[in-house]
Amino acid sequence: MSVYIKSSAVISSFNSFGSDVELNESADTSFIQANEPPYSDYIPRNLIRRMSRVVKMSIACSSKIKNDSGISDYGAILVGTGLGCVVDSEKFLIQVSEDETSVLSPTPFIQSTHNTMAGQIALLETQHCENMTYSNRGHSFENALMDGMMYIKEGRDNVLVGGSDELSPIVKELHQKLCLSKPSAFLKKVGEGAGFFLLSGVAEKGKTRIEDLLTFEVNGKDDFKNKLEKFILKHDLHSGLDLVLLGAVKGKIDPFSQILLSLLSDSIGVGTFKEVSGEFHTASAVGLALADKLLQGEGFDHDIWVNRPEKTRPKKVLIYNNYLGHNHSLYLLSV
Amino acid sequence: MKKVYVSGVGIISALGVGVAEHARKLFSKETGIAPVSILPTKHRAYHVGEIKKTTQDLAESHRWAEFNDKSRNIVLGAYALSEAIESAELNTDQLNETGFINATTVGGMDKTEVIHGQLLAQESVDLSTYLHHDCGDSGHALGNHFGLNGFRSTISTACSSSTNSIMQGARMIKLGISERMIVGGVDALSLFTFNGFRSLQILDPDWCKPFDMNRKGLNLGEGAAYLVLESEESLQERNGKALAEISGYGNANDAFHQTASSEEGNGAYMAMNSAIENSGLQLDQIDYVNAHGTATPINDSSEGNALKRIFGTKIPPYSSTKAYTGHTLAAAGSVEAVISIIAIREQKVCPNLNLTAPIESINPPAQDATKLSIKHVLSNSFGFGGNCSSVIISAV
Repeated sequence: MSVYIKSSAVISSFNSFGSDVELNESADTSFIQANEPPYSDYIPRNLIRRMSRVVKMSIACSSKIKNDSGISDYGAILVGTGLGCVVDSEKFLIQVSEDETSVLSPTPFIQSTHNTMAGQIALLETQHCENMTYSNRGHSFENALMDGMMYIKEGRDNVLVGGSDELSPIVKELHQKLCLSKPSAFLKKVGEGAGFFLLSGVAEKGKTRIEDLLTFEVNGKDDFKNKLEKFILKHDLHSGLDLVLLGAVKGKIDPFSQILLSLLSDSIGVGTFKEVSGEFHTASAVGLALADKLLQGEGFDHDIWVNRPEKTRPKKVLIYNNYLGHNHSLYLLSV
Repeated sequence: MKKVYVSGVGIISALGVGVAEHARKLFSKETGIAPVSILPTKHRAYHVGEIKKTTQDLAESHRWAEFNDKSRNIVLGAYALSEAIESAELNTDQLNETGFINATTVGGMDKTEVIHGQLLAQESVDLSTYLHHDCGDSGHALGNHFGLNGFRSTISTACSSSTNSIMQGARMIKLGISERMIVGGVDALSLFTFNGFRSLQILDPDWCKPFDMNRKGLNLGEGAAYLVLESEESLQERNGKALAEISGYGNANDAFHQTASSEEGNGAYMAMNSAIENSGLQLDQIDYVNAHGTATPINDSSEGNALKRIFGTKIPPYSSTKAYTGHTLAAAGSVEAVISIIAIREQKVCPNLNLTAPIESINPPAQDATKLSIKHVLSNSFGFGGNCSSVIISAV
């Protein structure tokens, strides 16, 4: 059973909403902010004001997919998020920490639940289908995607899958402190964003096909290498692979990504998506959307290349990601 | 179609530690709910379903030294998980290939609350504490401690979270992705959730009264419960014993409001309906319904209406056990799945507590531990975001 990406939408330091979108480059060295589209084009105006950014990014992505695909009846709605509605959570926590006995506004509490994004999509489109939210660190999005692939196997069509996270003042502050106190090969600029996908089991010419998704934890580098070798052998990746997209940054490729590169042919193109997304629990949703763009021949203007691929339109792409050296994942995609 | 069996269960809640203590208290109508004693809130008179030991005491009494400075979720989870593993009699090798789907909504909120206090006071912050904030933290800490090295996931769909983890585990076994999964959830009391529900004015400061006309709201609770799910092949191979079967599940979205349920209970109706369809059972085969029954004015009337739409005038004996444990949020589904298995084992309905004037829209809930032939139990969990889930647990 194959799973195809019928349509995708992404918001990161780049987005897929306009035709000439500039990269949102911040002078700050510790975080990368999302380049948000004009929300009023995608979300009812009366609702925008009340929604937090992570909800707006998610709704904008699902609306764009609806506009592009013409489909608004979903087989299931499945969202992954690492920190959920962290800005509203912080707002409510601050109220509680300051004075628990004062009159507390319930609004940020109501909007703080992790399933707000999936719930709001269901509410806006009146979708009663299965609705799930995964919050599992660097595998939050992968859990949602795997569930989507399971629903396709069970015979559903048009399954909406997404990953989204937002930056908050406290996340930024603590991350900055962490970067200063514990320099490590895995620490990157912290980021935010959303990537949403409409999955189908119906083959459509030219659409990106998800051949495999593997999520795993490792016990040391040898165990990691063994697991990679098995995956490479299973899919015969010594030939035919055009590009590997790493959840890394150009100048500071982490040790696990280095091991992967050592196992693949030197002529393969190598790109680094966290160069533009930054690090967050669901950054791989941005990575998948970027890979989908490249496989669809849309190209990408920004310099993410360690080794620019020979073909301008790759046919087979491997994504490898980890979160702070844990929560490893491999995606094999083709057209 | 492949069958999915339950081969082990574990539970901790305000009722106590373990299945035996839960069974004893449920059938002798003894509640675990009392005024606050551990939670560091100023609202001490509120009644909550609290486990009356500090996190450190709980960790130390099991000599889980590595959990001493960890979130309460991890320690509560460890109690329920160790019982589930022992009752299924799983060895290290079997655990190594077992998948784990945890469910939580608060994650390490108790630790985050400490950090926020420090940040506000401009004190120095222990950064490692912040790494326990996210919902994924407890699942990975527990998975690592107990050597559960198969597939791992964490679900966070508010109060339906652990019912969804049961459904996901069962689907993975049916699809042949995994042969054995541990599923369930955990949520500790936190200032965040306690004050959240208080600010929404849906907490009853006294004992909650599910399905009573004068119900005022819920009592917040805390706890954890896990179930070991296995395929028939896996049970046969290791000579394991089935305690129950997961025979159906359903998940639907109410698509009505971010927090409130629709009056006619659309989501609840669809979730129950899809669970019953999924099980292939007839309506009259459902012997007992463990209702979501939070005791908020909206939930109980909406759920009652949905029950009436499903069963008509023949609603099976039903009750809410929230007046024993409090509403344990993400853990509620697995806590009540374990309670449903207790009801099947003892062939008794769990009595609904604190009822003086039962709601009139449907027949009143069961108030006595009546002896009854119970083969199939329907258990409901509904949450914020319109998430509604139902699971059917059957005798083997």
